Amino acid sequence: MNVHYPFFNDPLPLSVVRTLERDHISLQVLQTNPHWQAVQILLLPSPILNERGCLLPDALWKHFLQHEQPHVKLITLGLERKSGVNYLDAFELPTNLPAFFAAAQTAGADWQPVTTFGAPIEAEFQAFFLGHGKESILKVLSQLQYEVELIEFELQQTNEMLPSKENPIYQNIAQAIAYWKILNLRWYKYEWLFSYVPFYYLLQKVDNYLVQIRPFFENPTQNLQMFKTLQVSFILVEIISLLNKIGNYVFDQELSYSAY
Amino acid sequence: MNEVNKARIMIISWSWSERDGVFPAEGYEEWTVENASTDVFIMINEKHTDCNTLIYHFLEKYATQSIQIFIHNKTSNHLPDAEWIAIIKKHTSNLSPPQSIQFFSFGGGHHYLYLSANEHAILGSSGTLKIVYPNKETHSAIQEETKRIVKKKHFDNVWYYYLYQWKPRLGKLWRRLLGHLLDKPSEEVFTPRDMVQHLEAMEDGQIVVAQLSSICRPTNTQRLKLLEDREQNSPYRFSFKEAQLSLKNSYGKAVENHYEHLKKSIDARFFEGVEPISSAALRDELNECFSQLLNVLPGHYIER
Repeated sequence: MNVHYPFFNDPLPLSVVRTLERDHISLQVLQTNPHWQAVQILLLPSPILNERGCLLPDALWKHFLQHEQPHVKLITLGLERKSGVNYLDAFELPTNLPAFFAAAQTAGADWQPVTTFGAPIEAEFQAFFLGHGKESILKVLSQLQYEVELIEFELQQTNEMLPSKENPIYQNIAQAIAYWKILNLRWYKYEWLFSYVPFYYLLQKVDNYLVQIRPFFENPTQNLQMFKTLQVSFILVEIISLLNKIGNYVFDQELSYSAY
Repeated sequence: MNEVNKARIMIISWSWSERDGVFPAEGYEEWTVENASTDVFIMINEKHTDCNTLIYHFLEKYATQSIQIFIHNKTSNHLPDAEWIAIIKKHTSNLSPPQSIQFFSFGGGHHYLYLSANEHAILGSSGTLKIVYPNKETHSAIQEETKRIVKKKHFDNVWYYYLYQWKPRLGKLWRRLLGHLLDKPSEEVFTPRDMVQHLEAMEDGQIVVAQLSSICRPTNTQRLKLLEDREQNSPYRFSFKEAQLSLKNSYGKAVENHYEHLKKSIDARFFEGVEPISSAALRDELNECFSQLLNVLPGHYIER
């Protein structure tokens, strides 16, 4: 029997590893964007300890797996004496772990993870998307996209390598930089959360895209000729699409949060 | 007067006099807070001969409001922290209903109220309210210098961080401690001495023991030093030295009782007691104490 677990900050506790070994259960670290068909049982330590505090990943992982990989049995490995579907008390593991895993429910079934101390990670992601009473990240992105489309249009209108100072392109560039800064501030403020979620690989893609187009926004006048080469406009469309996809995992009635 | 109606008074005794070499001879400045007519920000010159009297004066002046007092720990002019804690304890015991007075010591540039640690904080460099980096990037808590107004965002950010800091810190200690207990077989029994030895052998274990010690022995300077050293290299704080007074004064007797319950359990299981206990039983006892306290503490489990 194979059990996967996501490696967050700490290895699994020794007592848990020993019990799994006793029962001839092999442990494997869950890769980022894994081959999900090979994953049958996923042991999720909860809460996650981060230097900022305790995070509860269970509901978000359940929600993701329910829709994307319903065959996976998601097991919470908790520290409190609680009982509930797919909950393993790390201090009092069952005498027959293989039987416990065999009887566990798949993520596709209708059940809710046991909640313990900590901040639900989906709430943190909601704040990432919506900000704290400020503009949503998708709104900032669409404003940025609008300015970038205007830059693209104005570049097509002029044959000059460097448009004259009067060209409205410079206003659009200034506005685009302002939105780019807001986007970056939000992104790096919440980056610490990203590796704790099952769609980390999507966030990594967004991050790579941001790195790709950064040279334009850091020095747009100098890099105006690179605008097309960097595919700024196309990449922004890709980023928006990825964040919309991620938003679907984060905002859902099942997670008790309203649509954005 | 309930908590919502109270004005917020932030008193910081620091090296303000270095700001421009001209600080009022009386040793303090009172500033207001942007869009918050009743909140007050008080700077006290730590080099003033009567700086402790000044702090006490404002403590009395605003006795019916919510107060946060920050004392710079890098000067010998202030009373020691323990004395301040005793003074505030005595001061608040004569007042009813429970007054919201919190006390914090700071220093070294790494604490949350420094702009160098957090761009929406208050303390800048060399006794100022702003910091200018070599690339000219500036972070400032000043809304209007001439009218003596600080930015609300900065004031709020520091105020709420210190008001709600205990919940995430206690949550992390609970999680870290239980994680370490898990590395022992759950049926094996331990005396307090075994338990401390086990913890101290773990990565970060000495910090956990020092944190536990700061809860029940907040004057153990050797272990507090470990926490202070750790805090020098981290944006987060680890010590519970000021927790009991803050919790009592901010949230009243019920919260203080839960904290006292946790403190007694930690003292018995890690320091003073002799009874052996299994890690599973200890987990249950600690969970009961931590959960009672965490469930009534306002705030969030994450430090933002």
